[in-house]
Amino acid sequence: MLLDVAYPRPQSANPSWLGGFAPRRGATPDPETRARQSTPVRTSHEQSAASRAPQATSQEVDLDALVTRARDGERAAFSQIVLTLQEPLYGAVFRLVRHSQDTRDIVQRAFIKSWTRLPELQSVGSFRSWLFSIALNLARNHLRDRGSKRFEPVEDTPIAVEPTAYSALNEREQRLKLREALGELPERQREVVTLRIDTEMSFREIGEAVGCSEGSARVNFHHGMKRLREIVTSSTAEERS
Amino acid sequence: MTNTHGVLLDDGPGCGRLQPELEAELFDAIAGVEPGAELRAHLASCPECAAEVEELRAMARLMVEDSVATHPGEHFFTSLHGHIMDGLGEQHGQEDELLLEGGAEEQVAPSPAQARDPWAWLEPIRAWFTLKPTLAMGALVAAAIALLIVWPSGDDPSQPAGYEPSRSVMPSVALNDAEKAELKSLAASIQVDVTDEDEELYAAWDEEETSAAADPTDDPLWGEGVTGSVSGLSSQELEVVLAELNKSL
Repeated sequence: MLLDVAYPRPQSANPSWLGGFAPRRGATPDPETRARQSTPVRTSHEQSAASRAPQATSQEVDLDALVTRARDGERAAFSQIVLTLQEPLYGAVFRLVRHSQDTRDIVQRAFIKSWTRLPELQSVGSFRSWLFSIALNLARNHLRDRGSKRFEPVEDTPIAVEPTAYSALNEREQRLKLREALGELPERQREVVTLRIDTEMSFREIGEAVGCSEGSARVNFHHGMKRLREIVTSSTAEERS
Repeated sequence: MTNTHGVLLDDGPGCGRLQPELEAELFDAIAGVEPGAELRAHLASCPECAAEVEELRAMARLMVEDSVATHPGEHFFTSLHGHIMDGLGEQHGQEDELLLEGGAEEQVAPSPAQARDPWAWLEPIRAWFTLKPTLAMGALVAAAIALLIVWPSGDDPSQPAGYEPSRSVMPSVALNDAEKAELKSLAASIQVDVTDEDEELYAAWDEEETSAAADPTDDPLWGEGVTGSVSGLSSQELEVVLAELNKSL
């Protein structure tokens, strides 16, 4: 294994936007359980993914039905949509913007814009990718206005448990390297990697959100991940030497 | 890697011998999705692919852990949800105020309903008045004058109900001296003609006219204008016409 990620995991509120990799309270995260934990929201675009995913739970949200109701002007349905998608949207935008207040503003504006323009939405099943595309556009404009695509130092939320000093240092260093590496990726690759890792979106939805084909989204994801690995590995090797 | 057109090319994941379906599944597996049986069998027999999946999954796991560390907490999202829904309320409130007060459109992005405003075509005219008020007012006054000249006056009580005069008999509001003089001479000539004719002849003719054309609109001369021949009118009708002409002059 290239990276040592077997150190004690931070325990958090177990946000839904972390998918199968999310560390669980009081347990070591097990990526193999992702399929049992993932896909709380399903759209009509996820048929192929659903074939490999478990059956829908009772808590699964029918996003298409909510969008249909919201498009008819039902505010309660839109409120439910916000509750469902605000965390993954925040996670993805924050990964790109790296500023909590700015991310909050962008997410808020994206939701309000989507509400205002909901009658223009052609396909109900495309709502999630459409919402993310709105947020990505706002994030891109924000980064352009800010004049830099480099990430700013970010404040970490205090971790609930206290890991050993060594593991905490190791963990923090690796995360910082990862953030720097993400900042060095081309915009398209950074967006695709972020959306695939931080959200439950399929490559087809990601393609719709960033404006490319499903195949191109996969290729960008693969290149982005490999590039991330190269940057982090070379950085680690330099430090060791 | 990109080609000469700048399009990103993929050198293929892992060993490069994967079928397209398995390749797509491999990308999902890197992202954390449980691989299917076929891909699991391939990974078990291909150390190259297995190593790549393991390494890239480790990167993905690190990203997720970074997200955990920066997760703002449940309270943050409760607050964010409230702000978003309040924002929708403000949006509607502002739209309502605009409907009541008008103006201040720049504060709120127009909704789709506003974008389909049927009065949107008036916007350039309003902008014209704002930018060049003198020129716009001049054009407006000219248009008003032209309208007054060609616009018909109110209903004429002497005309039968439902009668719509042709354009030639529409009285204009402004007559110059020459026109007035012409009308006076015309009226005088008609008066002379009427008084000079034999009263008996006219009486017989009137009876004939009354029985033949009870409805004045059946008269083919209706709509031809007073400047045309008046020989088709009865003496009573002529008197009414003359009285009206004298009154207007």
